[in-house]
Amino acid sequence: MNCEKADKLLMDSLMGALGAEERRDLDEHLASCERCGEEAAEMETLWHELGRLDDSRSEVPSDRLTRRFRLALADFETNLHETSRPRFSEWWAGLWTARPAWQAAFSAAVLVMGVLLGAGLNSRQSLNEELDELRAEIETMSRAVTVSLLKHQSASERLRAVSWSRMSGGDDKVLAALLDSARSDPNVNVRLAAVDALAGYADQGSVRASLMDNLELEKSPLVQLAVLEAVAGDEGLRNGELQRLKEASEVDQTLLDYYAAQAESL
Amino acid sequence: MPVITTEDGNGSGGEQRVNQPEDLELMIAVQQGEVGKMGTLFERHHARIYNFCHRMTGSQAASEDLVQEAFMRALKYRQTFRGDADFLPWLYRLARNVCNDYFEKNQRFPITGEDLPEGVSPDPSALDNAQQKEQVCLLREALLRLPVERREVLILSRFEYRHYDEIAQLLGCSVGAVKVRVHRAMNQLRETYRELLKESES
Ligand SMILES: [Zn+2]
Repeated sequence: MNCEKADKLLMDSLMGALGAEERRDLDEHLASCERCGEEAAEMETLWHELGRLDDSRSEVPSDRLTRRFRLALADFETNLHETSRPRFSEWWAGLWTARPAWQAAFSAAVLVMGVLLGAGLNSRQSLNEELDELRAEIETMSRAVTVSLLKHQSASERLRAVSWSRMSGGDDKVLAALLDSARSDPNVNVRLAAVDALAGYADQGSVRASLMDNLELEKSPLVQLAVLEAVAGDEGLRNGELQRLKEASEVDQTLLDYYAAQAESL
Repeated sequence: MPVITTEDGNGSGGEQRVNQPEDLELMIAVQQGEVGKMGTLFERHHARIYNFCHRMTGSQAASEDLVQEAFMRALKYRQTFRGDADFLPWLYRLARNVCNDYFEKNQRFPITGEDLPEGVSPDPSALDNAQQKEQVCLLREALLRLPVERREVLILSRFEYRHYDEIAQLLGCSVGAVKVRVHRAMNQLRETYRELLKESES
């Protein structure tokens, strides 16, 4: 082995990337060539010192860093939702083109409504009855669709289902399916939309209690906020609820502070 | 005959291989809209990225900003992550770019012993005389005086990764190119260190 080759292999040797044979050759050269031997010793010392130098550097960054990032992340998430959360009208447009069968069904429904409106000129009373009937029919239909669609594999389909649920009134099965989505859907958008859809029923004891249960598990501060908004409404949290909120370990500190302050001011 | 040591610097790199399927799953979820999952990735990797930035800049305060910026870029540019690649090298690339931007903005050079911790060595008995302490400071400064790309490859090979192929993947170059860079970086470090030693003696 010549000196040039030895110099090349020296770095590999420091990196622990030498095969047994190369290592033997290198060691042989370093033992027999004074200049390379000294050079290797110097490099080795430097490499070793460099490693020691770092021991004081390797440290756990402060908690402040984590807190800062969590806030920025929550912010980012919020902005993302504001720009990408599907609006009912968009969803409606998508549905309209994506589902020819429903398109037909609704065309028929709208046609019936038009006819009824025309007829209503003659008999307001019967028009209201007919409309109620029609509304009930649409609700039944959307209920079935909602419940099955909430189990769909694709998150965007589930999102549609949540929007769809708004048409189906406070049916128990739909509410149960929505509560299930709000609690355990893996997609944060779907959970959020489900909570929003449930907000109108938050005065019902079972819906309210079930939403509060979510706070024990919910990790996204955004969904936490949506749940609290839904439950608190204008009247604030009830006594027991605030207590539970304080005990729910996952809830964001900022939210805790806010609702505690709100409760006091009320 | 020299005994070549290959002990791990601080255990932050080598023993844990880069490719964790869970990272990949989380990152893909982030891409698909569950950006909150970036929180888990942050928990998992921010200390590592922090140390990298700290080694690169020598400044604790700057490093905190740089880590934050690196992860925010990971969110912003989440769609540039390719699902068939490893997460950590991608994250490191972002961190490198963040550091480079930092150096472009802050041309103060060199950073002489800035925010040097009080106890420089975890093993004070080995450095119980002033001369040795000074040598540590000088070596640190020599490292900070290296051009960014040389400091980077040295930091990666000495402290972060144990294998050429990992570094090559990270830097997007061949193993051969990494070897050349590390070699040059070490030689320059030695020269700079020698000069600093000479300066301090006179
Ligand atoms: Zn030789």
